[in-house]
Amino acid sequence: MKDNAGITHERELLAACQSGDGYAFRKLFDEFHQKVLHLAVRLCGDVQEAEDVTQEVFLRVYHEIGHFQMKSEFGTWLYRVTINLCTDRNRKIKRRAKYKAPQTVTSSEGFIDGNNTTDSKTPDKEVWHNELQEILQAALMRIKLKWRTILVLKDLEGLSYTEIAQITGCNEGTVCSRLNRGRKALRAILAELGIDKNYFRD
Amino acid sequence: MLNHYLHKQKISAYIDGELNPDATKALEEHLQACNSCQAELTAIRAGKALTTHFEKPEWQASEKLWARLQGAQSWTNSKANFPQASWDLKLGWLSILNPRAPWLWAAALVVLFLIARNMMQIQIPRQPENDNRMPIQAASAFAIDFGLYLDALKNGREPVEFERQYGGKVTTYERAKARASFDLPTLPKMPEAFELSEVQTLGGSCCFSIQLNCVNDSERIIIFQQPKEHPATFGSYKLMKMEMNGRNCFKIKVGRWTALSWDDEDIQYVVVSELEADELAQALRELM
Repeated sequence: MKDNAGITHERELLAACQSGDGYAFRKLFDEFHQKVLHLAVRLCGDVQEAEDVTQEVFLRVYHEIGHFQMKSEFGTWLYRVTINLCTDRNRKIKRRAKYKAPQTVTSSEGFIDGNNTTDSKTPDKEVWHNELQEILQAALMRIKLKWRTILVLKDLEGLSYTEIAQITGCNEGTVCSRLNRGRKALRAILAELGIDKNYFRD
Repeated sequence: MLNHYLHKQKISAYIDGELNPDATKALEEHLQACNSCQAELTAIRAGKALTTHFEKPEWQASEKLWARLQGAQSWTNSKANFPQASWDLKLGWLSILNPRAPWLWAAALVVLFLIARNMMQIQIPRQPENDNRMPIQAASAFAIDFGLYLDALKNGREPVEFERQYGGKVTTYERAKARASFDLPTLPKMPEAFELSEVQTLGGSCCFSIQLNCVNDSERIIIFQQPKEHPATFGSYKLMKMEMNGRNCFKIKVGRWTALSWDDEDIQYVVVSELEADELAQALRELM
C-alpha cells in the first residue's frame, strides 16, 4: 500500500497524463512497466509474450487513462488489465505451451538479468542458480492459471488478500482457497523433480 | 464436516497472518484435532516456503519497450484523441455523457432496445409465492435464455436473443476443452444409455461456455459449463431452490423445458432438458 505522499504523487502524475502530457506518460511508464513485465513473465512464462503484453497494457492505459476515475489505485487497475491480457494470451498458447518448455527470463535478447552479473557467485553456482530459476518458472507454468495468478500476486508480488481480491474480482475466501491449491500444486510439482526444502540446505 | 471444510479453506490465510484473532484461535483448535488439516497445513507451508526461492531479476528493457510502444500503429493513429482535459474526473459518474464516447450512447440504446423488445415478446412464468424463492444466479439466467430460445423455436415464434448473445460454434470435445479456461469433467466416457451428440463453444463477453448435447433414450440433455468468475447473464428472474443429488441447485420450468443450475467449485453448470426435474436429476446422477 502506498503512503499519502505516494498517492498524491501518483494522482498528480495521472492527472498530468489525463491532460495529455506526454512526459508524464513516459514517467508513468518508467514507474510501472517493471511491475507489469514481472507479472506478465510469471503468468505467460515467456519473455517475448510478456513484452507483447506489456506493450498492449500501456497502449490500453494510453487510450483509457482519460476515463480512469481514481476511485481505485492505479496499480490495481494496471494489474487487472495485465491479468486479463495474460489470460487471453494463455488461452491462445495453451496447447503450444504444453509441449514447449517455457523460455526463461534470462534468455531474452534485450533483457539483462541483474543476478547474472553478481560477482560473488562462482561460475558453477551461477549455472546452478540460473537452472534453478528456470526450473522454478517451469514448475510455476504447470500450475493452473487461476491458481498461479493468485500465487504470483501473493507470494511473488507480496500483495495482501484484500488487494488481490480487488484485482481479481474474487472474494477473499476464494483468494485463500486458490492460494492453498497453488501452493500445494507448486510443492507437488517440485517434489516430482526432487526439489524440496532439503534441496536448498546446501 | 462443514466446519472442517471452512477451516481447511483458511489455512493459507492463517499462514500469512491474515486471519482475525477469533478465526485464528478457532482454526488452531481445529488443527489440534484434525490430522487431515495438519497435513494440509504442512503441505501449504512447504509450498509457500518454496516461493521464497523465486528471484526478481532487474530487467533493463525500458528503452526497448518504450520504442516499441511509440512505434505501435494504434499509438501513432490516436495521438489526436489523447484526452485534453480532466473534466471526466470533475463530472464523476456523469462522465458517461462524455460526447467523446459515442459508443457508450450506442451501447445504451442497444441495451434499451433489447430490454423493450424482450419485455414485449416474453412472459416469464411466474413462480408461486414461496419463501424458498431465491434471486437467480447468473447460470440460471443463461439457462432461461436458452430454454426460452428452444421453446420459441419449437412453437414457430421468432427466437429471442440467445443466438445473438451467445454465438455458438460446433466443435470437437478436444477443441472445446483446449479453448476452455476451466476443467471439463470426463464426459466423453458416456454411460451406455447416453451418447455425446454435439459440442459447442459459446462465446460470452469475456469467456467461453461449453455446451455438451447428450442423448439419453432419445431425450436430449444439454449441459452448459462456464467458469464461475465470468458468468454469462442477462435478465433478472426469480426461481425455485431445490436439492438435486445432494447439491443445492436452482430450477425453472420454461414451457416444456426444465432448466437446472448449480455451482461447483469454480464452474457453473446449467442443464436444460424436456425431462421433469426429478427425471433429469436421475439422469445426471448416472452421467456425472
